[in-house]
Amino acid sequence: MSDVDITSKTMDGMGPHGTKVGLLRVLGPAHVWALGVGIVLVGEYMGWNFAVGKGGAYAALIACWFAGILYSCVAMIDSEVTSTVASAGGQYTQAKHIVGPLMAFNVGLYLVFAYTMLEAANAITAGYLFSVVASMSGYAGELDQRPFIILVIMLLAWLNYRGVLATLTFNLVITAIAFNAIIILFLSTSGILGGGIMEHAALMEEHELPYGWIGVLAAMHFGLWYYLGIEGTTQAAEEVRSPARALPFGTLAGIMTLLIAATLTWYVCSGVLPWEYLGDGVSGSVAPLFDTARLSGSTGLIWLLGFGTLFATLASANGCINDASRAWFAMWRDKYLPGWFGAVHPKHRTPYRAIVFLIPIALIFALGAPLDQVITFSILSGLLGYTFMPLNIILFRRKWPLDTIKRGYEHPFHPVPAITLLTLCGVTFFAVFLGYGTQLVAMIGFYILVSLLFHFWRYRFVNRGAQFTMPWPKPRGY
Amino acid sequence: MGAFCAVWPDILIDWLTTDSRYSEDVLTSSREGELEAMAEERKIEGAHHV
Repeated sequence: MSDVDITSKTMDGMGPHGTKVGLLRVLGPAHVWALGVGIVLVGEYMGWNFAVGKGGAYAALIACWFAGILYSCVAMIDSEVTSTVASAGGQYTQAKHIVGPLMAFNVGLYLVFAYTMLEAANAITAGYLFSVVASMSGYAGELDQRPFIILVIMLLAWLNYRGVLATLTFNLVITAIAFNAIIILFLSTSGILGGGIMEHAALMEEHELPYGWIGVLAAMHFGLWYYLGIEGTTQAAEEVRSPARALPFGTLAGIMTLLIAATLTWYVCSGVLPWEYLGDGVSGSVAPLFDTARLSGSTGLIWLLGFGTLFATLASANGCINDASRAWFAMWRDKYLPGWFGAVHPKHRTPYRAIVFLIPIALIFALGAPLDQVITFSILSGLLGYTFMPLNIILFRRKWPLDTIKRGYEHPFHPVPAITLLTLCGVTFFAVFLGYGTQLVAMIGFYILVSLLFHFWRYRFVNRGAQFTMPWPKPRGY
Repeated sequence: MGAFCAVWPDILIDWLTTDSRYSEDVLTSSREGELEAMAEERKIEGAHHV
């Protein structure tokens, strides 16, 4: 330990247990908010409206609020656990400490798949947006979207490679613009500022629930889009200045922001666009907020929501690169996967090999896979991750009761949020099964296969002693 | 493709330079919870100075 000098100006990052170069603690609560909301907000700009197609406008609102309850439980549970697990990897690291290595391996893969697929989907969407801009500005031919997809992934990966502070400050700015665009659209079209254009009563008359309550259930699948990714705030745990304060604050502020944004989005779009058009996200309304702005007739709103859509897409892709690389890095660092990739850049202080490794994978999915399949695999991986959380918090409270580890945040009414979350996950699995049963079965089959591989082969390489270096007391009963 | 040509070499050259300049022991030395422990030690040390 003689080479350890924690006050060194030239070798910042050195610490006990052999760390010579570590991730940089430079982020605050606003960056945590920007990471969580930035990943999600694109779901308000496009995608959620498939829920309208499944069950009508009211079904989409019910799904929005039930999914809101699901994600509020996720945010509360995550905030409590991660305020004590101040380490990269988020739910993977939580699972490693609280449940065990096999669960950690699976949760780590859920995270990497969910974020990398979402990154690829965002890049595809950005390519599409550039083609829309081209056609709106008078370009007559068919624009090749592939260079724009590559451009988005490469530039954002480069930004992530160069440092986390610039990456998430960029996310903070563009996410704030995209969120404010929704607020301004609401104020401008609802009649609060100027004349309103809302026609809820006329548009919904005799179309309240066109497919009955089964439509409401089916809409839950796409209800997740309003909030999918807010749990990504935990990936910043090793890079925030004060994890116990910043992570719960940023995460809970994030879910409140999204509850407001989701409800306003539904209100604005369902009051202007007919439900048949709104619910068809392929040949109908691809970007409902932007379409609403176009129907308002205001050039300023069209520009604002156009940039809002693009910024939300970029913020999501940017946050996904950040989160996927941290989850991957944490798994490599513990030798759950080859340890060579678990390196930190000594100057930029980022998991640079993990970031570069994921570039070609994202490009393959973005250039070679259809958008709906990519997004469905992302949603399914996320949903499997949410199903683990109730088990996680119940074991956490049992093994480390409130008086054994000081939490930065203690979520109320335990175990009600855990039971609620588990119930809503079950409902959503059924909803996904109704529309994408084959993909669901294929995905679960894949995770069973890799679990067997991990158990019978890979676990022998895991760095069993060195993977637990946090100063936690022994769990109760051990 | 211009962005690809500009960004990819920058990342690649930096990666190769970094890997040749630092040992694997240094680059892969990060452990979970290290910085948290470090921050606590800083706090304690600061308290001594006061």
